[in-house]
Amino acid sequence: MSEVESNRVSFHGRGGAGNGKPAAAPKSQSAGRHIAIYGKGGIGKSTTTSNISAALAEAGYKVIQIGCDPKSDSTNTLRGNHYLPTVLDSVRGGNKVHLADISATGFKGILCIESGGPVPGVGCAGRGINAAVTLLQELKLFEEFKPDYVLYDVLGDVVCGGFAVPIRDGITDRAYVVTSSDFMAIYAANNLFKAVNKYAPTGGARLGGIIGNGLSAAYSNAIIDDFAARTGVPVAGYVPRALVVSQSELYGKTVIEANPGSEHAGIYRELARHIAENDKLVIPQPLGVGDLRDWARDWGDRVFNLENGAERAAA
Amino acid sequence: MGNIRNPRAGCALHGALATLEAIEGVVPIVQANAGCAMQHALAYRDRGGYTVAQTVPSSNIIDKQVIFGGGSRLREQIKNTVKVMDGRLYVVVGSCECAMVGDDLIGMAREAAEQGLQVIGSNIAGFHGDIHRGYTRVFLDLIDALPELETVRGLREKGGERPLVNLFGLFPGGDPYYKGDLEELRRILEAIGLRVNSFFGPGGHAALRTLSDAALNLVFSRWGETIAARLEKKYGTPQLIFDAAPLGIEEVSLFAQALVERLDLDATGAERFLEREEVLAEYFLLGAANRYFDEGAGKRAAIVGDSETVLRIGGFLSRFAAVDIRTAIYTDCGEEDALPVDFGGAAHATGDGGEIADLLCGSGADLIFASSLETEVARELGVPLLTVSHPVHDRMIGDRTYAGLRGAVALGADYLTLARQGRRAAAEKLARKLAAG
Ligand SMILES: Nc1ncnc2c1ncn2[C@@H]1O[C@H](COP(=O)(O)OP(=O)(O)O)[C@@H](O)[C@H]1O
Ligand SMILES: [Mg+2]
Repeated sequence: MSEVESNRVSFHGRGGAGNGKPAAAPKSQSAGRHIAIYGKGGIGKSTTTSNISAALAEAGYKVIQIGCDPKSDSTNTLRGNHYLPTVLDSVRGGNKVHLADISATGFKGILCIESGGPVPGVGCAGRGINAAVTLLQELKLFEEFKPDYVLYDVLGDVVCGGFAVPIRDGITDRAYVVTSSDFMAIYAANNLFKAVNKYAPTGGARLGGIIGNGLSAAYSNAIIDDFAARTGVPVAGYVPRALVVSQSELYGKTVIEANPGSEHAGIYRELARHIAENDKLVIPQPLGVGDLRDWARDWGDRVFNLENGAERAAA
Repeated sequence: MGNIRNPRAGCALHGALATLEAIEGVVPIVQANAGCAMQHALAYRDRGGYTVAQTVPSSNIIDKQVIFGGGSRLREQIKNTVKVMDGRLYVVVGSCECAMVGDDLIGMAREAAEQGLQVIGSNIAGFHGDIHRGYTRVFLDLIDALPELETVRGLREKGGERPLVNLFGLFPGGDPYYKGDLEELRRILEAIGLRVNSFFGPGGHAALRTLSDAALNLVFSRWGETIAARLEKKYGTPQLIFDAAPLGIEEVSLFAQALVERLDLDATGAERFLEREEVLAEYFLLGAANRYFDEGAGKRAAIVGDSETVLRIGGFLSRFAAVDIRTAIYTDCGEEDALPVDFGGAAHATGDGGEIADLLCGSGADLIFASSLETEVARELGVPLLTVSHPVHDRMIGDRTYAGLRGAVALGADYLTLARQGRRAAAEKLARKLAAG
């Protein structure tokens, strides 16, 4: 009438309790270092994240990159632009989701996943990201893959509570923000700082630093340095705007893969090394709305003078 | 799981609330619009024997809190609740809308705890699933958050003479007889030399505080498995998983034997207890055999309920009363789950009232073991019904149990009562037919 296994006793024969689906999985960082990368839309989060992943994988680490953006293009350059069904696509399909269906192995064994999202204008993308990450945990992704690094490429401004979930609920313990020296990008970075500042004291993620990207003007680094100093955040690295980035993207590759010997590959490797080793995490001091505007106007004057000065010197 | 007609379970928030309210000393605080807590109170009112709080503290949030976040409304609600509600532990539970807008309940609870209040948070949302998932999730959140409270930290009283066991998987909303069932399991476990944390019932709050001291976690349904797994991970506590609570002397003997082996208990003490219990069972059911052969033998039955209930009660009926279980309907299994047992008849997974009624109509059962939602179809079929699964409103449950040893006596007696009702109903039906013909 009964079967006794190591820690299961079945009074009722076949099947028994073992058929139960696990009800909920712990939200824990079971393995590896979990890093969230935020920034304004189009600022270069996916490009930067993918190159960091590629550099880490190249250095021999096991890496997972999870695109947390309904745009679902985070891992394109790690996988030669091939189509990858998103987590939420398969949730929408309604069938049981298997890890194999929603992940692809990219450059040097990087496990690529896209959370996906609802159709624009419908549903709740913030909730979608949260549900996708929870599902990945339930599927025991981290226990099974045993990554050294997990990178979350998270959409844009912190627009609503849902998008703050990766830094709030202990999914990641550190966040980086990608920004250019443009005001709107810095504005978005400042918004993220507000969210980190709010949640860090109660166990949310802290900030690892700012990644300056797409920098072209002579004064760009100085603007970022000044913003970093005022908010008490270190700068993790500067990535200049360069053709090699766009070119590699067109090949469906990261710079690390397409142009491993280029200067930019070196920049991304250095950035990856810094992020991998950095344990100095801070709680940022975001600027108030008025202060941010004053700060920007101040830089407007300085940049104007710089440009004019440069012109006059050239003449 | 489609629940088109008469869903028998509320949402995950309701599961969490039913669980928390049943733990003595615990007061839930709901961060939701007014409807969530109200629905819960209405759904559980008049259920035979549930612990239903008279008052459910709720922040009753409105549009403004959804737009700007409900933090300050909740802060106020916590402050006021601890003033007017007498509790030893307050648990902030969430809702669909506060999960959507990202209210940080755990952070808010931490803030209150830093001010010395006994508050922890659970990010539960109704849409996490039905009441079963609510039970599991809120327990996981309790396990994670409890060690943060000063009063819980450092309360290890390890090395008590008798080993402590925690019981998981039987809970309000899952097993309507959870009170009696858990107390019966406690009686058996204490008799074989153990101390027991069942969480529900007197001393519930103290049980939460000593949860990490257990030598073994006992799991009686699939809904307790993740909880025991979390405790194993966190405290290294081993677990013993049963597909159902034991019912009847054979299962209880096996149950006791497994525990004696695992925890190195006094085997002769356990044997002596079981021998005496067997004698008692015979004493209580004296004369039952004759009545069984007159009225109870050769019956066909249908059973509806959660897997744990169906396995426990269906298993007992088919083995000890030789009942032919034609139809077993599992109400807490998804379509993809492998169904536990078919008892040689047909097994189905559904929680839909209409579908269940259709299955019962086609089952050819003489007796139905199900919930109060099946009252109507049982009446139409002219077949007597024993309410064994949630929800039960036709009877006051009290200390009634269908688990362990006393539960076997109770089920044996109720079975024979039901069989006599069935015989009378059949006789009346026949008389009507003859009169008409
Ligand atoms: N350092 C850079 N130099 C040149 N082009 C860049 C650089 N960083 C990003 N880009 C380009 O900018 C575009 C947007 O970048 P992407 O990484 O998709 O942004 P996001 O993920 O933040 O929306 C892409 O076409 C990308 O190739
Ligand atoms: Mg992107």
